[in-house]
Amino acid sequence: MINVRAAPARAAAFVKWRRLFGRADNPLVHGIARLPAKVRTKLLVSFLGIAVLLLLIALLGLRVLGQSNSRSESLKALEERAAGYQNLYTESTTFRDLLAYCAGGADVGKFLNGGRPAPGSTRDCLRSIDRTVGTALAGLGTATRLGFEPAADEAAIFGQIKGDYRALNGLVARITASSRPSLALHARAEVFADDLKIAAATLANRTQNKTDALVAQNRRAYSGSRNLFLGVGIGAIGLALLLGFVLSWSLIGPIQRIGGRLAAIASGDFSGHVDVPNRDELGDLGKNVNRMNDELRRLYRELEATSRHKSEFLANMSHELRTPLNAIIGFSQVLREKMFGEINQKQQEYLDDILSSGNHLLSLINDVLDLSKVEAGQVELEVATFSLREALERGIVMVRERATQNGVQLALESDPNVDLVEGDERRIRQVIFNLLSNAVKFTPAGGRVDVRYQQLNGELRIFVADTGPGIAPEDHERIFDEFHQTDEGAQQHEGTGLGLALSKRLVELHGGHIWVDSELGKGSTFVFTMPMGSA
Amino acid sequence: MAGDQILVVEDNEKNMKLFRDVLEATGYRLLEATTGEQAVDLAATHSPNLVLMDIQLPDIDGVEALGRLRGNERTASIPVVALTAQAMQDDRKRFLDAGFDGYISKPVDVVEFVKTVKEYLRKEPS
Amino acid sequence: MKKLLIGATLVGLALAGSGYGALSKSSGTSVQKQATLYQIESIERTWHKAASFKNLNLMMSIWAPNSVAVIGGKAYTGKADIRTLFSKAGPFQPQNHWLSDTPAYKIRSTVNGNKGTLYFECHYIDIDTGKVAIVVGANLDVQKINGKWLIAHLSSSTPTLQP
Repeated sequence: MINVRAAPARAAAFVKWRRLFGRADNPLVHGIARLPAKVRTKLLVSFLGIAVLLLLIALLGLRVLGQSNSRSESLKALEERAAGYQNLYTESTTFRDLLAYCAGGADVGKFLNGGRPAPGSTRDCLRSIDRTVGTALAGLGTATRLGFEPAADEAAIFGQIKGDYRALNGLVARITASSRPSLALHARAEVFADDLKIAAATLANRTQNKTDALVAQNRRAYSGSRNLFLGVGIGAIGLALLLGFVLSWSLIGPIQRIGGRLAAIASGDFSGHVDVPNRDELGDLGKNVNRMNDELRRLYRELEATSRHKSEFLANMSHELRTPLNAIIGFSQVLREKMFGEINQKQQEYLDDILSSGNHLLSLINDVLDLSKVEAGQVELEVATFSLREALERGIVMVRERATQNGVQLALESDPNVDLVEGDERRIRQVIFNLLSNAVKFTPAGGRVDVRYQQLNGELRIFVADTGPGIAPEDHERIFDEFHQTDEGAQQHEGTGLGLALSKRLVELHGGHIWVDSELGKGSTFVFTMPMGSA
Repeated sequence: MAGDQILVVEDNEKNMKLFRDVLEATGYRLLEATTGEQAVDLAATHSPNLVLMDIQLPDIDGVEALGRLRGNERTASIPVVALTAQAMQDDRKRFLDAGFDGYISKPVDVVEFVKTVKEYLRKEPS
Repeated sequence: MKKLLIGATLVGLALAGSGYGALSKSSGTSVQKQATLYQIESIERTWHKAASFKNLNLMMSIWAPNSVAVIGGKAYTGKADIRTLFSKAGPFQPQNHWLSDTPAYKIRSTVNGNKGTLYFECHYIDIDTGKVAIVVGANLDVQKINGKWLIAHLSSSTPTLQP
C-alpha cells in the first residue's frame, strides 16, 4: 500500500512507475496485443523463447564447467611436477650439505677455532662421509627420475641437471674407488652439486610460479564466468518475467474486460462496447461480444415494443368488447327495472334472457381477456402474504346464496396452526371462487361441499371436495383445457369453460399444482398447492 | 339529492343515452360532454355536483382531464368518478392514485350505478 | 537487448582482465634483475665489513630467522647457534688483526623470485704479517624476507685458490 505520508515527490514517482508497469494501458502490453498472431502462436513463441534462454544458460554453464574442469586438471598436473622438482631440490640440498660437512679443509677448522688450527684432520672428516656420499647420490639419482616429461621451457635446465648428475656419478665413483679421501674430488663435486641445486631450485620455482599463475587465472576466470553467468541468468529471468507479464496482461486484460461486459449484458446493460485492441482470437472474441451486445439490445427493444403492443391491444380489446355490452346490459336493465313504464310477462321474460346472455358474454370476455393476459405473460402477480383462511371464508360467502338455493351444504374446516400464504390474493380468490362455484354447481341437492387445507412438505394443500357425479379418470387432465366442459356443465349452459384453465394457469404462476381426485359416482376433490408464507 | 347536476363525459352515443335516461329518470339534471376539453370547460362554467368521466376519451385521456379539473380552483373540489371498461386491479389502483374519488366499471349494473351515484352525491360537502 | 549488451561487456572485460594479468606476470625486466642481484651480493659486502670490524650484530643482521649453517662437520641451526659460531670464529677474535677480502670476480649469484643463491670466497689477511691467514668459501641460499635479502642456508665450500 502506498504510504500517503511519504514525500510527495517519491509518491508521484511511484505512481508514474506504477502506471508504466501497470495493466492494460501499458504501451508494451498494447503493442503485444496488437501483434497479428494467434494467441496460441504468441504463447508458443514466448515459451520457446524462454526455452531457448534456458538452453543458452545451460550451454553456458556447461562450457564454464568444462573450462573449470580442464583448469583443475592442469593444476593437478602442475602440482605433480612441482612435487617432483621439489623432491629433486631437496635431494640435491641434502647431497650438497653432505659435501659441505668437510668442505674447506683445514682453513675452515682454523676459521671456526678462532684462527688456531682445529683438532681432527680433514682426511678423517672425509673418510667419515665418504661412506654416505654414495647413498646420498643414489637418492639424488632416484629424484632425477621425475616420472613425467619436463615442459618445453624446462627441458634445457633439466638437461643441465642430468649432466651435473652424470658428472657427480663419475666423481663419486672415483671417491669411493680411491683408498685415500681426496679434498680435491670433493671440491669438484661441490661445484656440480651447487649447479644442480641451483637448477633444481629454478625448476621448482618456475613450476611454483606457473601454479600460482594458473590459480590466479582460475580465480579470475571463475569470477568472470560467474559474473557472466549471473548477468545472463538475471537477464534471462528479467526477460522471461517481462515477457510473461506483458503477454499475460495482453491476454488477461481483454478477458477481464470481456467478462465485465458479459456480466453487464447479463444484467440487462447493453449500453457499452468492450475495447479489445488485440489482433488475435481475443480480438475476434471482443468483436463478437460487441455484436452480440448490439443484437441483444435490438432484440430487447423489439421485445419491449412487442410487449407494449400486446398490453395496448389487450387494453383496447377490453374496452372495445365491453362498450357494446354496456348498452345491451344497461338498456335491458333499465327496461327490466320499469324505469320507463310497465312491461308485460313476456317482455320481462325476454329481457331476462337478454340480460343473462349479456352477462354470460361479459364473463366470457372477462375470462378470455384474463386468460390471454396470462398466456401473453402480461399478468404480474402482486405477491404478498395473506390469510388463506380469510380468502376461503370469503369464497364461501360468495357462493353461499347459490349453495343454499341448490340445497347444498357448505363447510370449511380450518387449521388454526396454518394460515399465511404468499401469493396474489386477488388471483387466488379467483381460483377459490372458481373451484367453489364449480363444486356448488355440480353437486345435486342434498349434497355437500367441504373445504379444508393442510401443510405438507413445506407447501399448503387446499382441498375442495364435492359429492357430485365425479369425473372419469380419462377426463382428469382434459377438464383443465380451455373450453372443455363436461356433459353436465354443457347441459346447464353455464360457465365459460375457461374457469379451470385460468385457475390452472394462475396456480402454476404461483409455482403450485392443481389436479383432481375423482371417480365416476364418487364425487370429486379438487386440490391445489401454494407455497408457504413467512410467518 | 334530486336536482343535483351531474356532468357525464362519455364519447359513445349509446352509453351516453343509457346514462342520460337513467339519471334523468332518477331526477338528476345532466350536463353532457364528449371530450375532455369540453368536460373541463363545462365543469368550470357550471360547477356540477358530480362528474362521471369515461377514461378512454378521444382527445386527452381521463387522467389528464382530471388533472386539469383539480388544477382549477372552481372545479378542484368536485368529486370525479371514473367510468372504465378496464376493470383490472392495476387499473383501479392507478385511477385511485391519480386522484379519482372512485370508479364504476363498465358495463354498468344499472341498479348499482344509481346507488353509487347517490352515495357520491351524499358525500359532497354542502 | 540491454541485458545482452551488459552480459557481452562483462565477458569482454573478464577476458581483457585475464589477458592483462597473464602479461604482467613476467619476472621483470633485466634492469630489475640486475638490481636484485646487486642487492643479493651486498650480503657479501656486509659479511666482510662485519668480519673486518668484528661487528657481531652486523654479521647477524644478514641472517634469516631459522637459518642453517653446514660447516666444519656440523650443522648450526638458528641464529643463536650461528651467533655462537661467529663469536668463536677467527675474524671475530680480538687478538686477530684480520682484514677480510674477497675476489670479486668469483662472486656468483642467482635469483628466482624471492629466492636466490650467492657464492663467494673469503680471504682473511693478517695485517700484522701481511700474509693470508685462511681462505674459506661458502655457498649461500638467500631469501627476501620483509623486503630484505637474508641468508637462509650456508653450505661450506672448498675454495679452488685458482683464478
